Amino acid sequence: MTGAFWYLIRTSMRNRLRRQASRLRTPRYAVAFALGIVYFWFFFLRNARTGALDATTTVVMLAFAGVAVLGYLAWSWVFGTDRTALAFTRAEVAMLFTAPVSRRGLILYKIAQSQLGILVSVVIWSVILNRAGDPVASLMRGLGLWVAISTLSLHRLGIGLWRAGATELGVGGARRSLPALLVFAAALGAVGWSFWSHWEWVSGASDARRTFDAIVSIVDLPPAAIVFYPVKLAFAPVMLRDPGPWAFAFMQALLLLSLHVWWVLSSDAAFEEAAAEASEHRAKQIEQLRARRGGTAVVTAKSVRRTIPLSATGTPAIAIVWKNALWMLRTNQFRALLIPPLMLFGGLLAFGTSDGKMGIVFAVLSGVFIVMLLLFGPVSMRNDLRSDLLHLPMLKTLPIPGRHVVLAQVMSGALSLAASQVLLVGVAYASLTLSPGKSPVPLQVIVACAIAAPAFLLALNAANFTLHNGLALLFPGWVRLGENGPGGVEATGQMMLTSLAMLLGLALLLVVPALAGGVGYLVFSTEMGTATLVGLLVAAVVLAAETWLMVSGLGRAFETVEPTHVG
Amino acid sequence: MISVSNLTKNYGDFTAVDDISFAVAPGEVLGLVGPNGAGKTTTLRCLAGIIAPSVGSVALAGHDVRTDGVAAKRALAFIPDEPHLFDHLTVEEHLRFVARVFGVADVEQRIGPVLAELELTEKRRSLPDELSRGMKQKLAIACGLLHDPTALVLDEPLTGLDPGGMRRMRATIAARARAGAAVVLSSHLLTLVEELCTKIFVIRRGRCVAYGSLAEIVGAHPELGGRSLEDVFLALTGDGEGQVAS
Repeated sequence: MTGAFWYLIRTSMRNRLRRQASRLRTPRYAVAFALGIVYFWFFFLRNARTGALDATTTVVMLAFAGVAVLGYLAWSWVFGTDRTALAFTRAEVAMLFTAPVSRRGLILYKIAQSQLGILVSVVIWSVILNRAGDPVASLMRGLGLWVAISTLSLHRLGIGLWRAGATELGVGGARRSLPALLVFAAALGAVGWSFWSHWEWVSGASDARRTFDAIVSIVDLPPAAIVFYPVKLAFAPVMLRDPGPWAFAFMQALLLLSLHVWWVLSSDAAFEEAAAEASEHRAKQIEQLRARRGGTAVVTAKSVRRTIPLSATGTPAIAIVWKNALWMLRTNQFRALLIPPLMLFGGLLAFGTSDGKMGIVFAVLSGVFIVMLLLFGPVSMRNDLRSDLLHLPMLKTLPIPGRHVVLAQVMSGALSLAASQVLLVGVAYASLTLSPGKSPVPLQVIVACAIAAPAFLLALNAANFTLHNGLALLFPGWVRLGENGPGGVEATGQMMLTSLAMLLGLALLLVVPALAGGVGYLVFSTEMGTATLVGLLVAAVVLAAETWLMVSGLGRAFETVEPTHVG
Repeated sequence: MISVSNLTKNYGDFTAVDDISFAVAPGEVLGLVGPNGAGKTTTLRCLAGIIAPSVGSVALAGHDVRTDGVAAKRALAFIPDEPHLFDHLTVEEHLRFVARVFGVADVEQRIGPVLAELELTEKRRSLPDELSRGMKQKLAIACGLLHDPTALVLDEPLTGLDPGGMRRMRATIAARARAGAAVVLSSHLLTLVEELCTKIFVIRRGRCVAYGSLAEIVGAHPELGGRSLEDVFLALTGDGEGQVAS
């Protein structure tokens, strides 16, 4: 049976690589892959070579990692929330659980399969932690990381098996968690005792470095040292550089790993039911993860209590706006859009009104948030054609003209973003007018901007959302539709390409409105406030006209697009 | 009334549907049958306005689907074999959405009976994710029927339904036809076709192999007399023994 498992792992990996490689034959994936490589090099490899992490930073990172690992394991032992350790895929459950395979065989397969992910993690972390590109140090650290992560992975699996075994014996709920709870409470007490006994070391430290040293010293003393000993044992080879001590620590870590292998393989718990349940849970988690990765938040059953009424009569396309608004309500997008203006307004009330300079700071911050919402809002608010094209057969049977469908999709996002931005304009207005001292911007210009903001920002966001929806409709292969999509380097590159295209598109779209607005401004240039107001409103009207032309064109495209085109 | 004239659908060099014509009058039920890949779903998608014909025309309730799509679709209900539902709308909200789109003013009076008829009352506040495959299909059916369509297009309407649901669905289709709807249904369940359909359209490789009532089809092929619809179907489509030369 081991041969079959090995075959499954090997062929799965090979086919995945082949599929990714074959995608690169398509120019758009090849370009995206190249961009993705540049991106990863820029953010990870470049820093690894030129700005290697120093020893202190590495120790700090690993210390935090150790504490996080211990906390995470404690949580898993007590609450057992980490179901993914036992999770098989749906296909594995269907094919392997029904095959004549022993439980030990299944666990062995799980361990072998997890090695793929572990090796990828080891490579990534080795690159990130690589100091000055020393290959020997990298190898030592890589091996250390492999042992540490493998041990952690086996420990998670062991917890899953233990909990499944306890459930099989009828020990569930609080009774199952009680021993672990007591052990970890005692551990926490021991660490607390250590810190309480030597608190003067921490309180007496003069700077951050000495504080950290004091904490490390306390953790090195019993009883805290006893608590952290297993984690230290597992992670010591990652931290050591001298070959002698490293080899000794590595052997100890290997011994710990072997003990975990023995523990897990000797488990005879009937884990199949728990594993099948975990596989379903993981499948949902993957869907949600993909959704969040692409900015498509997930609606939970609990959130359906929040609703918006919809009249049964009136313009049919409003139903689409309503549908999208419900999504925003239930995924807390509305709340998220309110956070920046409320945060800044709160800050303004607390600090800004007493100091003229702070008023300017809050006005600038409002401007920064407005631009960020404009650029990144449509990336995260994707519940428009970028999601609904997957329901194209259903949408196309609705008695709604194509341009109305597109307009409704565009306005759903544009209205929400513009509303948030208008609130930010309000904050900026208050910052500049309520704060003492002379404002760098004339009052009449501030008032004109505040008056023109709703129309201008709505037109601007509508244009931006139209571009995003247009790209999805006309070039669906370039946009991730719905929640699922390919991952990997080329997906990152593709995202960058589309973002650049959107930025360029918006810039081009703004040329004519800017010229028209400029003319409007010049006509009334004798009075700056009126000129600003007219300029912004003219620009908004021209931009809205451009957007409507695009929406009309996209409406025609929607009426002719076929599901096979969308894929 | 559903009217199809010389409908052809090409995908590049491949012709999925090749010059077919039929008409379904109010009260009639047309069964579209054929082997896998024969062009049934393509035909139904052309009827529903999801894809445009390469040649020919489709009219629903007297409105051409291509040139007067909005008016044509007001009369239409298309129930696909795979229900397309919005992840974040509950069962009841799907109905409200459809009501607004089709302008069903008395939606409040209709929602309760429709949900009860399809045994979805207890699930009215559930998201699609919480529904079984059969319940999703029932919701898609409920959405289709809410606005009393006069042109009903169903692609494998019984997929995923339990025996009770299948019986009710058969009764619903028959009742809609009696009420004056023109119905086109595609199904591999030949007993369903035999039970409900007043006319049968047999399609193979995109072409019409036979069209008419079962009696008319058998009349055109005397050698098939006295045989079941399944035998007739297999003979006409060349999908079994005793195929008929066309």
